[in-house]
Amino acid sequence: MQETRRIRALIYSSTLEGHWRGVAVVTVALRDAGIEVIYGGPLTPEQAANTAIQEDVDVVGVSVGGRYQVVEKMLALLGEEGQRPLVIAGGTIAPPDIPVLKAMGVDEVFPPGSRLDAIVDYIKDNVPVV
Amino acid sequence: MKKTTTTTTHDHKPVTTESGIPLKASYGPDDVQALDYETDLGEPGQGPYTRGPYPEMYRNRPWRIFQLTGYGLPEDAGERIRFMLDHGETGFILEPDLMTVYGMLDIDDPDVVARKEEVGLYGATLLSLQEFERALEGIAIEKTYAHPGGVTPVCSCFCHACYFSVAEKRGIALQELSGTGEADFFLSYLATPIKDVIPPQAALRLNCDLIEFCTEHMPRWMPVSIPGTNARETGMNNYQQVGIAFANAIAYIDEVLRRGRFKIDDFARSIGGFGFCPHTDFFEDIATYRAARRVWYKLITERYGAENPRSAQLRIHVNVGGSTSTYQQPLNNVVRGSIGMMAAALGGVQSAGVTAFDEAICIPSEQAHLMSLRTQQILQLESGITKVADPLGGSYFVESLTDEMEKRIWDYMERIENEGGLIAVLNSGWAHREAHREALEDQRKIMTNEKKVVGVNCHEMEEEPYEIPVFRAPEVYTIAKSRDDAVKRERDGEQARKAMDAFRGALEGTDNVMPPLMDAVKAGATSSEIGNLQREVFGTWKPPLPI
Repeated sequence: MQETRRIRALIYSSTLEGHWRGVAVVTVALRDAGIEVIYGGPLTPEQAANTAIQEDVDVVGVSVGGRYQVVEKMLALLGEEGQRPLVIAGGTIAPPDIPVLKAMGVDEVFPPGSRLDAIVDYIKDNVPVV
Repeated sequence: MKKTTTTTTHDHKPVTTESGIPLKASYGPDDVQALDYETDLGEPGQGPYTRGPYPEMYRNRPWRIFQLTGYGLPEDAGERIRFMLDHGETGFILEPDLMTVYGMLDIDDPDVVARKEEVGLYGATLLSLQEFERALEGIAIEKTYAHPGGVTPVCSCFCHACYFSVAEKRGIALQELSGTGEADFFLSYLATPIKDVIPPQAALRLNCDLIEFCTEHMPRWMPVSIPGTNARETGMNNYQQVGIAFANAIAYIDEVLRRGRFKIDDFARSIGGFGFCPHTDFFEDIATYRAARRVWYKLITERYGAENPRSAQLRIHVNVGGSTSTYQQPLNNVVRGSIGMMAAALGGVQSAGVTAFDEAICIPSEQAHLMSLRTQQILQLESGITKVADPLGGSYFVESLTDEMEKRIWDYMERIENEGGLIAVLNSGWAHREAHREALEDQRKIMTNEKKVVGVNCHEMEEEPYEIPVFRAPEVYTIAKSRDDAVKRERDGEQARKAMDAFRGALEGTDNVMPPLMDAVKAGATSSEIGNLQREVFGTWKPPLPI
């Protein structure tokens, strides 16, 4: 039987301050689901994109809220749409901002109150099995 | 008649409080048999202050309505503060920008520049004394209770130095000012550690300098308050938030006593203001505040031998837990805020902020901010709960729960002491592991529907029933930077350098940092220059996160 590679994810927060409760809870949920998670802590767009590329991750999860230029920059550095990992966002993202993030190229948005298993399922359904 | 003693529901799940205390279906005289009125409760206003710090409580001392405010440029924050004061707020909390003041980082720092759109998003750009003057324009600070920023130990002395200097420039004597600092260990080292923060031991030094400065010069100023709130919001439960907050107080007391200038009764009151966080367990929250007052009384009188009754009178500020606000069906948060505030009032608190109903979505709008204010005013003026002190005193259930909370608080304090005390549990990551474990457990309960959250895991709706306007804080980086540049350009360079040298001397030695710091901000020293000096002298700290 061919062994499948574990899904690899980078989870980080785009803001500089270190609120970690939310990202930590998501990180643990993904790990419990068998996903290998690199916890990045607070990262700049450049740091996030570089880490994602160097670590060859399948998923980038970013915690963001209120301002989204940092996500736009990260996406641009990550590569062309279709060539880059799956990108998901969480955080205090106002409902009207969800389509804004998706238009930038974020694949899915998980605002506060999202079910952790919904995040896991989304990743497993959308990362191609190697 | 035999009372029921079941601790389970019909499906045999144990019923507990939020922090895991098993609950019976009802309580009666047997549950409070050991309670002694004189030693365990006392009258309101009498030791051990279980029933409240003052005899008549809200009849003549309504709790202070004290909401957190700050975004954009200083004048944006000032405008919102004046709006709130004009509509009946009875004090104000000026929130500094998260990166440039909270972290005392240079506005040109590459990590700030990479996120420059976020400058001013979570707090006002109070980068210099000039900016404090802009924020406070039109506010009668000699008559208003204030928290002038300084949420973390990194920026607390700076923000205080600026606020005090604004007062001096207006001809107001420092002893006339009333207000409170915060300088919170739990934000800086547990909940939201920011890049290049100075180590906890250095924070203790700075905070104790501020305590001594205010003890000597400012009788109406609380130099620090200890918000267990932020430990609670990181995940810790009720007894843990009180236990670790008291561990923080012990660290302050031991250090100030070690320095030898002041006796316990000189300063105990000035650190006896704590922040706690009503969450989602009404009666446990009430019991927590009652128990906290009793523990504080015993700690201060028995362990430290305080004799002045005021030293042992714990005063409580609450901020209704932001993490209990939901993103879904956000108007429901008005109800959550009211319930939390009611628990706080029945628990006898002195000061409160109600999380704005839109905080799970955006920085509070004016409308949401006003609702937090009105929630408190309605409770104070319409509900009748302010008429009698400690109205739940003597309740079999509440007294029994208060006793149990007290035991657990003492146990937790002992565990922290066994781990080496506050600084040790922050350095080792013990506190982070504790909070993380609780946060995961809380999340598990929500995921498995063991804990119900309306709109989140039950009574969900496909379409949001309420549309609320999203408040957008202005983008202020360019203006904030040009003002920072202007301050540096226009000041007397020689005078600023000398003042900074004197401040450095205090940091490196043992003299109180406040007098030279006030000189430095008056000479135009900016937040990041102060921050850089502090980092140079004290070094930086890496958070021991359990992930």
